Amino acid sequence: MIQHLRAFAFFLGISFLLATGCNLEKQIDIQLPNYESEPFVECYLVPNEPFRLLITQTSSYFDNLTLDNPLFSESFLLNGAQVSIYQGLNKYELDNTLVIDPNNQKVYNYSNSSGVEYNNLDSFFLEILLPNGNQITASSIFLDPVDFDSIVVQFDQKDSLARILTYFKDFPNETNFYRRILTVGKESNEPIQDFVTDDLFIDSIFVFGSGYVLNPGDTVLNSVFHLTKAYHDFLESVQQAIDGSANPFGVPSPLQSNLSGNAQGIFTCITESKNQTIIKK
Amino acid sequence: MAPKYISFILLFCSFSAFTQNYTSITGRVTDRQSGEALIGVSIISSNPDWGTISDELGNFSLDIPAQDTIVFTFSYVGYETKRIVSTCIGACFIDVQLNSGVSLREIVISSNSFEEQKNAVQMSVSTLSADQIDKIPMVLGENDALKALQLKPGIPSGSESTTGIFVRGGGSDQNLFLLDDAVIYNASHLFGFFSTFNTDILKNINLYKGGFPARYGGRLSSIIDINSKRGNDQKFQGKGGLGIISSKIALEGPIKKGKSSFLIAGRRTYFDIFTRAINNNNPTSNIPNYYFYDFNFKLDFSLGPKDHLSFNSYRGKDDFEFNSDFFNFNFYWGNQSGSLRWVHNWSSRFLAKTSISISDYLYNINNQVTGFSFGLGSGINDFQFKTDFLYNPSANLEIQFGWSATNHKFEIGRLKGGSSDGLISFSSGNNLSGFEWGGYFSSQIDINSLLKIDWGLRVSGFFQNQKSYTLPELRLASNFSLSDDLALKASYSEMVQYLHLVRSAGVGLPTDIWYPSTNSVLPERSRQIALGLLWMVNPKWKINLEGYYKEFRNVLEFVDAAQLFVSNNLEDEFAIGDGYARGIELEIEKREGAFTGWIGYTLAFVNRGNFSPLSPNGSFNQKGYFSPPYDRRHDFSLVLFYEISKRIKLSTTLVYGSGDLAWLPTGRTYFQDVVNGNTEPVVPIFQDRNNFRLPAYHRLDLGADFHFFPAWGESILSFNLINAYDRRNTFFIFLEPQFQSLAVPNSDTSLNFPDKIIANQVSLFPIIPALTWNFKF
Repeated sequence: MIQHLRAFAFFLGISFLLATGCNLEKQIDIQLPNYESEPFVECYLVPNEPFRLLITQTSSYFDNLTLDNPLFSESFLLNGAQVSIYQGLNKYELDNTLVIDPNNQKVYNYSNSSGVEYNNLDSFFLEILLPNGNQITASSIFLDPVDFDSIVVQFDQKDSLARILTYFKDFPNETNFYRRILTVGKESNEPIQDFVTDDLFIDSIFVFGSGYVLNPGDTVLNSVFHLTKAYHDFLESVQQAIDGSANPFGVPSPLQSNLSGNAQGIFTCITESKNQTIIKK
Repeated sequence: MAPKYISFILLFCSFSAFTQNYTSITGRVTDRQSGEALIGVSIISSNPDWGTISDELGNFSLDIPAQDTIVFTFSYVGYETKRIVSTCIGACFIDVQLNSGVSLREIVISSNSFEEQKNAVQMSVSTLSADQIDKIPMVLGENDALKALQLKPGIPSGSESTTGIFVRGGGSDQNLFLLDDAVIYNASHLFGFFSTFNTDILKNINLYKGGFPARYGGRLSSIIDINSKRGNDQKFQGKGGLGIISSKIALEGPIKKGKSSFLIAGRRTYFDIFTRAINNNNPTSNIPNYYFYDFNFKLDFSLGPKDHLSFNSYRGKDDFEFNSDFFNFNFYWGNQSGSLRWVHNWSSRFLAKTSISISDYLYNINNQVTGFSFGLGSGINDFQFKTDFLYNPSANLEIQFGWSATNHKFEIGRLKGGSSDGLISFSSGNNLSGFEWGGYFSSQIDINSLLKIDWGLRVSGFFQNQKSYTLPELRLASNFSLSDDLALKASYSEMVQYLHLVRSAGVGLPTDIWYPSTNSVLPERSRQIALGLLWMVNPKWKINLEGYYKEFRNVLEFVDAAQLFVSNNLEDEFAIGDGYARGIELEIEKREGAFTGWIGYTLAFVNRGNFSPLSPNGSFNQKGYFSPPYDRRHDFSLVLFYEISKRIKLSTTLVYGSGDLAWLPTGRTYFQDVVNGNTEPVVPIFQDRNNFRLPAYHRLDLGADFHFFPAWGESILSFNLINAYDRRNTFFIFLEPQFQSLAVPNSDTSLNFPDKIIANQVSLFPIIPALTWNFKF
């Protein structure tokens, strides 16, 4: 029996070494079905901000965009379209001009300097006529903004790290969708929390909380967006598409666009409630 | 109604033929060593037209034309064949004890010989012996009945080394696992790498992939009926093993000799013993802890020659946990089942089996992150009562009928979370219930010496929240003997599935949610026609060729961007469609002699489509039909055993399969989001589902068993070499963008863009040797 146990221990060790010492990952070449590029539109109507819109062209998944293929070339930005946004009887035409927001590292290739007027009674309507004659349309509305009830900062038992709790009342009698973005420092920093949710399992008071990850002196930018269902579904599908290509446990999803016409993307009014808090003991 | 009339006429004919002078033989067949009743023993008289098989209690009865001398042959795989000469006239009882063979032990299915298989009306059944399961080389030396079955034609596996099975185009949710009559809802451990069935306690497994007997229902694609063996009621004995990842032991013996017995068995992994020790000794170490265990317990009581009572229980659990200063994660899942079975022989021709069983499956995920806790789980609980009757009015006629009733309780997507101080709390999920019932009648009639027909009708129903369904399921099968060695078989079967498994795609997680049929979610249905040719080349060789066509209705998929875990109305995430599958399966098998094994080949085509979301707000982008991931075009397996001597036995398996299908993105886009959102330079665009076929899968495994016979029993060293030529098969693919920062002209802004995107293939195994030590005493 001792001999058997010795042999067993020997092979246990060999098996472990083999299993852990081998590289089980390798690059492979994949030939995917042909892909036909289509316009991708992002347009967020933010109250008191200019009308701005980005139209790009989607590409085959493995296409390279190298330095030989300069940025903003025809292979990326889609220029030459006629873009109009209607608010009630008002029509805003967007010029095909490159606008760069260096603070937030965002670019737009269509804009109108008029400020978007918040009005939750009006519908906003997007109409794009592409150079090839195709038409893209979409619509959206402003929802009521969230009113924060309170912002609570709590420290952990060691009194070293803090968390922030954001309380607000859910809108009754309807299904609501929210997005929470929590950023420390500048607005352009990468968020420490960014997720969407519905209110199906909330009775009345919504609370978004962070973990105990905040240091005294941190400036916390607390944003809660009240989303339309279309925007919520789009954001969910974007996340699932990313997870589905990189995570073996992920489930892929096509993008849930709210555009009609042969295009993908999102056209939505942004209702955002913001708060800035400096963490103090 | 037509089949009923036909059956009635045939039944009448068979009774009228039974008016000659007959001798009535009854008896019982048991194992000489253990006293265990042997089920399915082939009993053939010297007149080959008259034969039968033993029932659940080992009993048999046979009416044959009176003769001066009758020779009976009792044969059973793994036992020495025994011949008995009878001069009985009138009515006699024969008590037969068979000696088990040196190496063969019957464990699976149709315990029958090739002769029996040829003569049986039943088709589309896979057969293995326990001896074969024990000898097949397995990853990490863990013997596994389900992985052994995957080597049979028509039962392809899921991803690398998992126990999921996809029978004749069906999904992994369309298989019914019955352990001693109790349903096992999740038949796997370690994320699907090992099955829950400890081979040391198995007596037989019946895997039906078509031609379903009327007594079975509830799933569309297969029935895996598993019976644990009875404890030895003559003497105490045990067996066990020490493997790379787990150890196991099984003990059995008499409670009252010859009358009652017990069987207790357990298996447990021991990763966590090492990881806990490392974590405890090193404060900076936080290696996840994981273990699984199985526990089986069985009591058997012979209450006389006509009654047998057994109590069977099973409990299995997987537990995975990870702890650190900021993050505690615990994920456990498992099954529990128990059954009480009573078999009663009302007479030598009429037998009743009654059982009460419970089944329970749940998973639970608990997460704690710096003051917050989050729990997610789901479960199902069953209570079932059923009775089956078997009536043999004559040697040419067998009638079965019975009924079952099951009460289901579902815990759907339980979510609970909040802060540890109670300031924040939220929850979701709902509990549902359902009542499922079924009744059946079937009759097997030998029309003449060439043609046998088995017809049956099952009527099943489901009741859930004021909505009820009642559906008929027709079952037909026939066997036409073309010659002494060749049988042509055909079958038609309809199946209904009232329970739906909500399981996300991708690499399998045991986060199963079972969902009942409701007003909107219709019962899933299938119908299958199969045609087969079985050629018994000789008693050692068999060639079986079967073709099938199968249709599915009301099968479930999930809408695009489905939320499976956090939803108060899960039905909104469902899309319902249909599908079809067709294929050919070939099996060439050799059973006896030093050299045994089989070759299996399957050519299959599977399609699903026409899905439409249940919710008007849902979307299902894919139009028309598409192939599911497991649409494996070619599937080949070669399994060989060679017994050099009593001490040395070799085995090898070679498998080849077309690659599974993966859903990969064909396009991508740049998503810059709102000003305080995070720009994603690469958002994949998924179009047609399952649009890429992974590289073909092939693997060679080798095994060698060395048997030693010390005074205390038997010691077996098993050496396995898995993936002998170090093939890197695809476990999954992930896509990895590599970025470069490009300056925006006339500004100091730069944006990240993908320089290139790399496709990475991850394999699960290199070449792996494994050694296990098993013993018996």
